[in-house]
Parts: sequence; structure tokens; C-alpha cells
Amino acid sequence: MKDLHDIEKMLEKARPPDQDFSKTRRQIWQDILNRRKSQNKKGFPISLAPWIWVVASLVLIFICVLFMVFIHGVGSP
Amino acid sequence: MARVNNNELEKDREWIQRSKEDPSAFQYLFDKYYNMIFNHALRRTCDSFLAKDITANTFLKALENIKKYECRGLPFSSWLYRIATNEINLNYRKIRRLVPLSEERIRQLRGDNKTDEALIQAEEKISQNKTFKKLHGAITALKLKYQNVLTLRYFENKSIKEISLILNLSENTVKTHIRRGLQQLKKRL
Repeated sequence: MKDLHDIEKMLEKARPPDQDFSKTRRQIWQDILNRRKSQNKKGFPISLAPWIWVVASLVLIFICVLFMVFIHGVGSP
Repeated sequence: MARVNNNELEKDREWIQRSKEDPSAFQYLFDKYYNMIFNHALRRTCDSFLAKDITANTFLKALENIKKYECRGLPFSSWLYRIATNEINLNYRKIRRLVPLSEERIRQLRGDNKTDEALIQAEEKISQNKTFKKLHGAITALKLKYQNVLTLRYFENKSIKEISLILNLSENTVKTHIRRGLQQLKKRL
């Protein structure tokens, strides 16, 4: 029966050595650049910080509430 | 464990700063850490084509989020390992379903693209290591939290402190996960 120390030794010994992937490096870098370009193209045309969208949404809700209050005021005798 | 000296950290910091201002400067960091992440992904997946995708996604996400990265406490290489680990975890189901590299698949891949020859050779090399294949199979059947710590500790030779930084866990939790992971692995071998 193996103890934990034997398993540790086994894992350390079995580790495959590092390989050199420099032949594929250029290809992957190009792939990353292409994907980045296509992602930027697909994105929403107006890119604003998230907090701006939150503030804009709150302002819009506030305007709608004011409009509802105004309509209610006009409608009532 | 590969220790990072202060000069290297300083150089990384300089290039990270440059990358924040000009994304094309990120290529220096990509060139420097490409082999490290690819080898890690290959040891986790045993599939060079999936490892290639994981490596590409890791660097793409790093490039997209480089402005958010802050050097304090977390070395750049650990940050890359963190992104790569998340990518590997996302592909966990795919990794479990992977079949060994067969002669037929090699023929098919060779027919598809000759530039992928290096990837086929890398996968063949790793497949020849029978003990590793056996251990990889047993590790892949464990819970992800155990897979992450065991592979970082024994295949990437990372220290407990570095693993805790990569996985954002306390050092005690990492030690517990390693011990429990080894116990689970023992039952499967």
C-alpha cells in the first residue's frame, strides 16, 4: 500500500519536462490579435464606463417618473 | 521552484506599465511567458490542441484586463497561472472526455495543417510517459479544487505561498487541499 509520501515522489518523478513551443508562438500571437480585432468590431458602438450607464439609467427612470406625475396632474380635475 | 528575482519583477512591471499604455508592448510579456503557460496547459489537458486554445484564451484575457492588473502582492506569472487555471476549469468537461491520441487522429491532423506538426509531436512526447498518463487520468477524476493544487504543486513545482496567490486561497487551505487530494489520489492508484 502506497503512503502519501510515495505518491508525492511518484508525482514529482512523472512530471514531463518543459517543451519548446516557440515554433507556434507567432501563429498564436497573430491569432490573439485577430480575435481581439474581431471582438472589438462586434462590441457595442458606444463604449462607455459601466457607471455612466448606471447614472444614465437612473436619470431616465427619474424623467419617466416626473412625466408620470405630470400626466397624473394634467388628468386629475 | 523557479524563484523570480527582483530585476525580473522590475522588468515585468515596466512592460506591464507600457502595455497599459500601448497594447502592442504586451508582446514582450507574451513571448516571455508563452512556453510556461503552454506547458502548464499541456500537462493539465494532455491535448496539445486544447492546450493551444487555453494558452491563446489566457493571453487574450490577460491583454484585455492588463489595465486592471496591479503588481501589488501578485507576480505577473501568478496572475497568468490564475487566468490559465480558470480557463482549464472551464474546459474541465472537455478534458475528461478526451481520448488518447490515436494513429487515425494524427493522420487526420497532419492532413489538416502542416504547421501543427510541432503540436502533434509535443502530444506524442507526453503520451509516451506512461506513469504521467496514469497519474493524469487519476488526477482528472478528482474534484477540481484538488486537481488545481496538485498540478500546481507537483507538475509546476510551485510553493504553497505561490499556489495560495494563484488560487486566492489561504496557505492553510492549500495545505489541506494538497493532503486531501493526495489521499483521494492514493485511493485511485
